[in-house]
Amino acid sequence: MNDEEPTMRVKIEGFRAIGSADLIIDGITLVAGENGCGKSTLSKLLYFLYKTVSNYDLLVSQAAWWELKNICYHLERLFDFTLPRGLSGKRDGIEDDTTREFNEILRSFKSKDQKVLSEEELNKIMLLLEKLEISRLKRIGREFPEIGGNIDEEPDKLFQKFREQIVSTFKEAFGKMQSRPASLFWNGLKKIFNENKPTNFEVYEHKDQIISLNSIELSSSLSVDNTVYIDTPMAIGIERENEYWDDLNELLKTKDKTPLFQENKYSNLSDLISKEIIQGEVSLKNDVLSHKFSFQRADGKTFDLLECATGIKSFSILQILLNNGSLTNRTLLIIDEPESNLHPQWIIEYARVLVLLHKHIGVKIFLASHNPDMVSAIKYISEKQGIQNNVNFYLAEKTNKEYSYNYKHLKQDIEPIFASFNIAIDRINEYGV
Amino acid sequence: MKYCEQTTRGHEINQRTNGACLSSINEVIEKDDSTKTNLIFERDVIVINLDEAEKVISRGQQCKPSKSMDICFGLTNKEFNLSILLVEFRFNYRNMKNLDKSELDGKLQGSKKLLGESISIKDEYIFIFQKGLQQQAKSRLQRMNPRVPSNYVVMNIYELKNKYFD
Repeated sequence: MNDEEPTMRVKIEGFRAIGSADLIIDGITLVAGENGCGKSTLSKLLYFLYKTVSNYDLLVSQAAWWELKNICYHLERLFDFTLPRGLSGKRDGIEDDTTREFNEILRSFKSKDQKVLSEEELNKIMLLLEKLEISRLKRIGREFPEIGGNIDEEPDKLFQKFREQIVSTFKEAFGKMQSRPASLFWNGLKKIFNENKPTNFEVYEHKDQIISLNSIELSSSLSVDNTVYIDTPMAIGIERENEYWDDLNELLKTKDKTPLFQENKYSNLSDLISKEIIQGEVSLKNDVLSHKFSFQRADGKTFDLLECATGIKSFSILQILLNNGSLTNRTLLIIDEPESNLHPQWIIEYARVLVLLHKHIGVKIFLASHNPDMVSAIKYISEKQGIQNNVNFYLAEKTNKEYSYNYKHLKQDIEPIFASFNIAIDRINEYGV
Repeated sequence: MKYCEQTTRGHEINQRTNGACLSSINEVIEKDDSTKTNLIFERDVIVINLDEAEKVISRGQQCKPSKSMDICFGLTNKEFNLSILLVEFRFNYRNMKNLDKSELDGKLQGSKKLLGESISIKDEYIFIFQKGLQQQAKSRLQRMNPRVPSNYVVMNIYELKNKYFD
């Protein structure tokens, strides 16, 4: 770190309130500025970029499954027709291997978190279709022995169509995974912001370009393989509200994937949160139907985390992500206004945890903040921990153009941020005694 | 109002201390500023070193010196109004943890008592911080509870020079 080329560099111009920003993310990056200056836009843009970069194949697969949704519907009906039935006309309850496999495929089609498409998956589906076809033809043969399988030729054509569509969707997806067209990012961006492309957009990791306006493909990331975006601690446990909350909750429900050799680092930080800050521990109970986060206080009492104070939720999110291995040296952690809902004392503790997350685990952190204590704490705790050179502060400054801000790189100097915060103090002096 | 050497030299505290408390502003700054980046005045800018004055007076009265601001100097304007400006240097404050309202209040009271009423003391008290910490200091001072009054003014040395000397 801190060689001449930063780990990550994001240049953006002419996008919503962002006039221009040239951001370095080399450890902890904090942007400050008044409301409406585009801080959240930056957070969301970064999140969506790195979500796309690091989950490209999965996103392509999800889109492909979505396209195959209609086929899924037809297959389900066809399969239903194919199943042997008793005298009452109801299914006779036999669940053979074909049924099980079919249900498994259906679940893949319908599930939100499908796996990445593979040749193996395609072969499995093709084999299943073949079985279905044979099974259906056999049934027709059983029920109409005099005409056997020659009742009509339509089923064959239908199966053929299904096969062709599935194969072409898979092949198209495989092609995209191979060539990684940048259009996946741009189309998604347009959907999220309902805006045209920025007038300039360049992202680099060290010297390598990840994307620019002229890029045909979206490069893979060398530094980030998972991105976490926390826009509010209220998101915990609340699903289907928006994509960001869903993504966060998916991560929170992830099973522990901490590598054994890293466990000490993680548990030390988790203990710090439990013992020195929230005086308790958060846990997740998973069963088939639901996921429930509980908070066990140091005195043994247990509460539903959703009913706990928002400050507890803020730290709990970090603790859960730490405990399940979702925060690593290849994580980009993006937090909007981390100080929200925190008592001033806990703002400092939160900043301390963030600094230690970067120092001990190497998590890359992007923060948007309005709070003098958060800004001071990030600066001075980083200095004490000897990582001040990995910290970059930015201030959004109004341009001559209405509703447009340029992000000024302050390096480690927080004075200009305080000068902007102090406008509030001048107002108190003006309006108060 | 601007700096006035005559008012500074003519203050009664100088007679009481036989001029022992007169000092160049840079000498006082030099003692307070380990970075030596704030020595921006001409050598002959004379101010009253209040710590020195307090030492001399308390020695004469055989009592413990009170706390005081670092310096003061005379101000005047075109109408020949006179006043004394109190200034405290806080150059070595790396962060704001040692800022304490009661300590600042004590220094002000000590200085006012020391200077008496021969020339009115300007109702604006100046606290000088390193340029790179001034806004943080202002934030810290104004967010204390009880709040520091708005006439406790935070400046850097360039602003002081610009406002009262140039």
